Amino acid sequence: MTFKSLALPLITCLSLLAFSYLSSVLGHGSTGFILLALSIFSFSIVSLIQSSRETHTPMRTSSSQLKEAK
Amino acid sequence: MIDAVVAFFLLGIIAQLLGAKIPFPDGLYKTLSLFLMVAIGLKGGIALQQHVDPALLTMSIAVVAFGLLLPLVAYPLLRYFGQLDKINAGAIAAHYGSVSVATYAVAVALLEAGNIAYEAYFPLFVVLLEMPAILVGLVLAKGNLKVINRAFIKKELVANQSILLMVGSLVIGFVGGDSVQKLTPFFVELFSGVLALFLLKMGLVAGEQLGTLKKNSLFLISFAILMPMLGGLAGTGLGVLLELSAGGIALMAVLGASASYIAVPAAMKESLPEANAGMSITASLGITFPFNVLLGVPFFIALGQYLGA
Repeated sequence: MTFKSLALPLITCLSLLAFSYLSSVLGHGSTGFILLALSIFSFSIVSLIQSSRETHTPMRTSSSQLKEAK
Repeated sequence: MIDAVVAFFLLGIIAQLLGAKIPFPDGLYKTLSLFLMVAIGLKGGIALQQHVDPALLTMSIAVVAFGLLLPLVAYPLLRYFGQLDKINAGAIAAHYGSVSVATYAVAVALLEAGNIAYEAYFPLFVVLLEMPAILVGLVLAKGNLKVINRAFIKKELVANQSILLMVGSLVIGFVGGDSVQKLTPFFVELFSGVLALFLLKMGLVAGEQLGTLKKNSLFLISFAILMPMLGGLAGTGLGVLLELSAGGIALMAVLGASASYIAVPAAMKESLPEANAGMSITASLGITFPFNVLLGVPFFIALGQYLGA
């Protein structure tokens, strides 16, 4: 997962938090924006973990295959 | 407290996610969308009978410029962060530059429920914002102006179903005089009820679209939420510049925040058949529409009231 693919979700999270602040200033509920920001942030973390697992899996396989070959 | 009309949208999403089979004939859906377009146009025309703003031409030029600008904001985001090709970036940018009549209808229903005044000529702005983004999106996707030929303009501008219905109804409402009053029990008084039924169907469709989010979904979700926030803020700015009322500022913001899922997909299917239609529809209908209905529209109404006061 690259910086580019994480940048937009983070910008969106920050924008949602800014909207939630503005919303509370306007005397309007801000819970929806905060919940959405948290959901996107969690989704980004999950995607990051998944992507790093996928990157490391073939290396582990190849090292185990090397051991077996030895 | 959530508005009763909007609650029907949530009901549709919940029903779809629970797997409930609610029968909703395609014909009824088309009839309801036709009703909404005629009702919006007619209401605008009736209101225009009482008040025609001389600054309307200047405002219309500003609104068209706004429609040309929005896809130019969306396109670099799609290209740089989403790493989409020109065709798909152009197609999605066109969706986000154009408008959603249903989102506009929800905003009108909420404004009327809150007794917040807005300018009568807004249906004209809805019509004006339908087309520019399609042109810009096509030019961005193809990289040249050759796509905009006479046949394209005839089909997408002159014979466009939603433009024709809304402009036609607006003119009928305006020139019809007192005879239009006999149509109001059907088109004006039933508006909220019909909108609730329409939103139930939209909830079902949005719930279905949410289930299709797989590849590139993190980017698509982020883009489809960020873009209405940017468009809405730009619309709010334009509303303030044009010195609109509190309701007018809110409606301009909603027009900027909404993304088309009827007119633009049809145009893109014809002009850009190689574009991934599923991705655009999922973003505009599955993410942006629910975001706007549940969070965006109430927020922009509150912001409009604050700035317009």
